[in-house]
Amino acid sequence: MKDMRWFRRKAGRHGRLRRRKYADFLAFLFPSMLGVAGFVLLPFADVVRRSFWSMASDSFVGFSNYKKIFENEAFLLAVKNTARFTAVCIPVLILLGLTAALLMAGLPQVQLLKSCFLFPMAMPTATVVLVWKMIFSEGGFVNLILEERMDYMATDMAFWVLVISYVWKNLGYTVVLWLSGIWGIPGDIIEAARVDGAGKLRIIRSVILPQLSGVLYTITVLSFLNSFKVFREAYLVSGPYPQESIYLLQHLFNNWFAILELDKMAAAAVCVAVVLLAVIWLLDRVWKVGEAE
Amino acid sequence: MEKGRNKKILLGAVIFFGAMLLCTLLSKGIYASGLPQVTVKKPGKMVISHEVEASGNVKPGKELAYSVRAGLRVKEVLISVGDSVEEGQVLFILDTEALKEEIAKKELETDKLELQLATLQHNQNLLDEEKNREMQRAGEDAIFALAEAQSALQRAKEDEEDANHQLRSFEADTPESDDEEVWKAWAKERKALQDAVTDAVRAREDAEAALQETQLSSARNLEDNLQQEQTDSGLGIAGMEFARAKEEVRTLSAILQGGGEMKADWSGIVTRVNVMPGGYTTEEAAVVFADGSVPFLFDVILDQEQKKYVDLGAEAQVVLGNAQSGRGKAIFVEVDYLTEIDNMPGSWRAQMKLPEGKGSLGQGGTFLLTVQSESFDICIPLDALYTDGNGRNFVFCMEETDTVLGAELAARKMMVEVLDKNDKYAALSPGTVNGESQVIIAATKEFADGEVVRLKE
Amino acid sequence: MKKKIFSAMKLVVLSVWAFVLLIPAVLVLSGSVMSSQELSVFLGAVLERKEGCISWRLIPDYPTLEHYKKTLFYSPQFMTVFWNSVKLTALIVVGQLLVGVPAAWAFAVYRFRGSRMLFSGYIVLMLMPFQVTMLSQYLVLDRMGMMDTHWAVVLPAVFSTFPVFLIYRGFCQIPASLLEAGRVDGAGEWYLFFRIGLPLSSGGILSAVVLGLLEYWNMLEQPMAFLKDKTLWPLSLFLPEIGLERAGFAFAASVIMLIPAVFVFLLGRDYLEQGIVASALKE
Repeated sequence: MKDMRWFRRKAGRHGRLRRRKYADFLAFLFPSMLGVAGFVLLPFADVVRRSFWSMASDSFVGFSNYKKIFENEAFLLAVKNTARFTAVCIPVLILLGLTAALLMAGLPQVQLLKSCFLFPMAMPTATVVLVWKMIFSEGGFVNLILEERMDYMATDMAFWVLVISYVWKNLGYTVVLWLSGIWGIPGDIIEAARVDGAGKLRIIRSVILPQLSGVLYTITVLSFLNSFKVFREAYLVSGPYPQESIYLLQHLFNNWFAILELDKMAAAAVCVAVVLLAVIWLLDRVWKVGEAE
Repeated sequence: MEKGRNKKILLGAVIFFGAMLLCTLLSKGIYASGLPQVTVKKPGKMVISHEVEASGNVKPGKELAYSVRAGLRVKEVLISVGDSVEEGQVLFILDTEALKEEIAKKELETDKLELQLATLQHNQNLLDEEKNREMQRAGEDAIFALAEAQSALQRAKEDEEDANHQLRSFEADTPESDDEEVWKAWAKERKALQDAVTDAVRAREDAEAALQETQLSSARNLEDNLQQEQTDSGLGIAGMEFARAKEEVRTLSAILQGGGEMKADWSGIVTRVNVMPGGYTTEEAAVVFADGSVPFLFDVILDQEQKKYVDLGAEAQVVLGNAQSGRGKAIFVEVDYLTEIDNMPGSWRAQMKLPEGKGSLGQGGTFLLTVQSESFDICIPLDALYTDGNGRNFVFCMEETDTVLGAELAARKMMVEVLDKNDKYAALSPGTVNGESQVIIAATKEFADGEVVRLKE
Repeated sequence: MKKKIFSAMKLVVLSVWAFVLLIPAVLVLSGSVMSSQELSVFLGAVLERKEGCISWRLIPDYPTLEHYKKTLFYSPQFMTVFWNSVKLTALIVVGQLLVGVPAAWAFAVYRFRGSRMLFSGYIVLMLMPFQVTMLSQYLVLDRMGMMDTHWAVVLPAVFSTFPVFLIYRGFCQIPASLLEAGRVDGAGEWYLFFRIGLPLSSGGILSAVVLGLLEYWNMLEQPMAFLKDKTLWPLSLFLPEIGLERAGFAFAASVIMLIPAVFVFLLGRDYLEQGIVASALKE
């Protein structure tokens, strides 16, 4: 892989065919660029403009929309919840995935197990929601086992229900990624470590884990990306105004969209985009630094 | 191997989608035929008419009673209920033998009474005479007493005068000597004379009082005597009884003379016969007639519901006769009488005069009354109206809704208020349902609120 | 020996874990063949908030196919939304290929200074949740008059940058030397693309297809925001409207919705894995 890339880069830098190729490059890219620019980038510029504009008075209002959303209780709640959810579910997912992958790695039934773990990804959200209702609502399975009866979706426990739903759905690809990472580790390094007398755990800690940093990066980013999708389950179980602890940014956007509070939405969208960019950039930095070691 | 398995899976997928396609076509067909098909109608402007129909009978307009003394035995009854009789027609015949006996009995009674009466009268006469004598005596006594008292008074007055005179003359005659003894003796005499005057005055006053008392007591005596005249009525009663008994004898004799025949005094139709051959007449009327000169009434009983539409003076129709005997033509009448029946609350009796000559007593017929309400804008067939458990009314309207299959028609429940209704239509108050609503009046299947329906072709 | 026991223990743990993960599917499947009476008994506690709890029996006492009958034969509504989903998913995936494959080729084969930055931009866009870009899309769609049509959902999805990324990985595998050789032979760029690039990267393309199919068969936010007309709804919006009161119908409909996903899953499992692995952002 590395060799080929380097080779190609070299070819590009030689520049001989550069100009000719530029036209082809554009030709191939054109439809995609058109769409992306047209549907996302340029409109986003409009969104930015709207974030400084008021719909009611149709005039420039500076940062007042931003002020409004930061004073908006719903927004603050949504931000808090979304951040909390992300901060909780991603480590949980990563660790559980890693555990499962480590357990699975040596077994011959790994393909079958992988399929089982991946299957939840294929289940339609609408179906899953029915099952969650059967399990977590007041007369559900969980209450059958525990003594205390409560409707989990109506209390703060709803947050954990969502975490469970998220982990259940995404465990599959996490495991797959971890496994690919684990198998990608050159066997000789492990052998060398074993020869050096390192115990199993030591090997895991000092040899395997560092090698997995690349996969970890991917998993983190993808989990982060997928954590926003959990809105689907939340919405289908509890509607547009769910219990407090699971009121996420997506709920807020959805509700604002429904009542066409576009200026607030614009300001919030810009904020979220900026935060996400920052996070991605940060992660990139951290990994680059880590890789450099 | 992989390829083979993949091929199988691919085949399975293709079959699946093919099956779905088939099912799509099937379901579209089945669905449409499974929908309830409804007929709709827009509410129209209409007048709600209420028809009251009730069965009744012809009754006599006026009834008269023919009575005869109770206790007489009847030999023959010549008429029965429904007969039309003329004035003078024989109704029934009394048993003459019994009659004769009755007369004899009565005559005996009369005689007894007569005797009684005479005795009583005689006694009364004696009493009267005595009374008179007493009164006379009392009067004489009174006069005498009065005269005596007056003369006593006169004498007392004279005595008084004398005493006075004596005294005065003595006082005028005063002794001439200064002898004390003489004066004492004169004073003593003078005092004796003064005492005598006083006595005489007292005597006169007593006499006056005595006179007054006598006048009072004689007046009272007179009053008492007068009052005693009004106490005894026994004579009066006896007198009356005698007179009556005599009258009865006279009546019975008259009947006997007529051969016991009881004749009608007027013409009419017999409605009740209370006498039986061999039976006795009672206190009740022997025969009751319907006065033929007074038009008949048609009598009908209405229930509360019907009464709502019938008023005094309302115009109605009566059709006499029934299916069997053949119906007559409609007779136009006015309701003359309408009242609640005493021991049957909720039931009302209505009567109306039938024109002269129409109807025979007891004939059955039908009372028809139609009331037109005002014109209502929103009227629907009664089939389209439903009532829920709480007694509220509702109808179903067909409306367009948006579903996954596009614009479909659905049944929607609308609560309504019923202003008036008869057995075919109901008038609704404007509100949820108006003249443009498509009201569902019939359906091939049962349906519920919100269900999709189809219009019947 | 110890290893064997260890392995067996690991297997047991993982099997239980796998079973737990599959419980929802099992519930749905068993529920879809239960008669409505049994379901109302079992689910009574959940539905009416009565006393007592839910109960279940894996194998129902009176298995019945009535729910499937209802779903398949008596519900044209279900059919409509089913084919809507099929239409949307197919259009999107095809569109994504038409647009994304050439774009991925462009990024993979032609390296310029700007292209690297542009590609990073693509990656960043890929990571934005729908809610951020929702407003931009709405503004454009509204201006284009496409709101409340299927295009409102299809077009933004077609231009998603995620498949570009996946397929790019696939194209990266192709040795540049091969291409050079082709160019030397006088082949035009398009020829290279069609005759060399596509066949060799079929793995990458298929993984994008599989991931895309699974993703868009289930999509919810976009139709919810942009489709108001009920006749345009996909299955993923229709299914939630069937509540637990019609549990049998809901379960049967869910199973039917699952089937195409299962087909895709079975056929494309390897490609699925490949796709996931390929989405590793750092080697």
